Amino acid sequence: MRNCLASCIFCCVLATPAWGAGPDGAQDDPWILLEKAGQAARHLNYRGVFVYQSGRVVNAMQITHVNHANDEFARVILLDGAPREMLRQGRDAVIYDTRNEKVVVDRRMLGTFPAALPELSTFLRTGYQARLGGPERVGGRDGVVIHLEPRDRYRYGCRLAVDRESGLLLKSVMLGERNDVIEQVAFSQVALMPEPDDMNWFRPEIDYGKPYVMRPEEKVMSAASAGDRWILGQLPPGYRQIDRVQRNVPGKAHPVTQMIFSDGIASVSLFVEPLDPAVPRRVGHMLQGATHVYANVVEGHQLVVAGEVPAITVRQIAHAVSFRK
Amino acid sequence: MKEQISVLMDEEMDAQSSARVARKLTSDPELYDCWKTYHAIGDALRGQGQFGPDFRQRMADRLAAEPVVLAPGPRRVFRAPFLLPVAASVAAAVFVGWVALSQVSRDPAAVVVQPELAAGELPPDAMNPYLRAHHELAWAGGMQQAVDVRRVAYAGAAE
Repeated sequence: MRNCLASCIFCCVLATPAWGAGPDGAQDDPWILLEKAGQAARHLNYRGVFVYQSGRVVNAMQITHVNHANDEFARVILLDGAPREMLRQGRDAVIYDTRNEKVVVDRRMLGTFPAALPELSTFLRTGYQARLGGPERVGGRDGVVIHLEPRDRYRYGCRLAVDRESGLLLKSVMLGERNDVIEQVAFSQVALMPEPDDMNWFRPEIDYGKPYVMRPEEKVMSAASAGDRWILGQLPPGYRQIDRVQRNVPGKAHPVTQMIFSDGIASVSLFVEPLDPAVPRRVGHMLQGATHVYANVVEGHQLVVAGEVPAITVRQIAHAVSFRK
Repeated sequence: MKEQISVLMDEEMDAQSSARVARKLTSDPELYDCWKTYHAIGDALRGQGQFGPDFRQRMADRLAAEPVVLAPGPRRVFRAPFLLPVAASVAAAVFVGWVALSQVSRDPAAVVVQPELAAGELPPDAMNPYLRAHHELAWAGGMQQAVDVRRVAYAGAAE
């Protein structure tokens, strides 16, 4: 029955007209293609090698993605350097990371994705203009290019290539103001596959001879905004709240509130926590890969904003927070 | 039946039903496979996947090599807590309400505006826990591949 369900999903996906290369117009609408790409990423079973590049960082990773009983399973293995891999079911994930003579196990249970998000294309329209590009072959598959051009300076541009047959995202390139490549994630090789017969692939293969060390687990739970001393004003255009959680971080006296915003493709997190006398206050900027970080201290609170967006966006989101007297 | 298996694994089933499901499990190879699959998923997500695919064989070999002790040992009940409730993942997704589409707030009580303090470079090691937390929950329109990749790429960053 499991296999039956999977093949049903697979057949439905292939039978939907917009997936085919038919000349019926759906293939010419970048918004429809984007919507399908969002669904394909979750529903398809595939295995391939991704190359991630940002600044001087270049990493190759093998990814296996399976939709089993309507739940998403992914295993991502870092192919260069010390062995590291992630196993993910929905939003619950474990990362196994070899460090020196140990394997550090970092586990995070985050529950299901928030439901009832608006349609992706509706979401994206405020921030971007979408334009269809030409064909591009990526990872041995025939892709169609979609350009997402930013309507303002609060987001980067994106060039995406999606698989002509299945809608799977094959490549995404984040572009700065001068069309410079900020980050690129692309399959160097990928194959769609039927659902595997068992879950034997969903287990780590890290050095069994090394001791495993469990990292102290952060408890993450969804949190209402009631009782906050702070309020959030106007966000930059196109950004909406996706989620809001509270993190109990080992070693921290107070829980950290995290809000996640997205404009449909770019994501930003806002962290707010009361200052802890034992922890140094952080004020300033930094950049890691494509992720800008901005930190400030206001009214006895540490604010941190991080996201794959221009510096002005993280700064503006931090400044949208104000405090009640 | 598969839902009952996940309920059984979450230890939310009474003894009588458990016995019935267990009998079915042992007599139906397909259900037994399902049971093993759920356990493999659970092990991997509990961080207990280190046993490896040939664990059972290696264990059997080691047991065979052990000397036989005839005295009865203390009786222990081992309960493996299935921390990730499979029932929750098998059952229909819980509807989480879409909240706060608009972030605009016009609360007149808000009087403290942020001073222009932030300047200078942040120490990366101190910010890595925030970056990790961000990558965990980032949402990229359902096209999560880039999010997964970033998460793994930067997981090794120091603190």
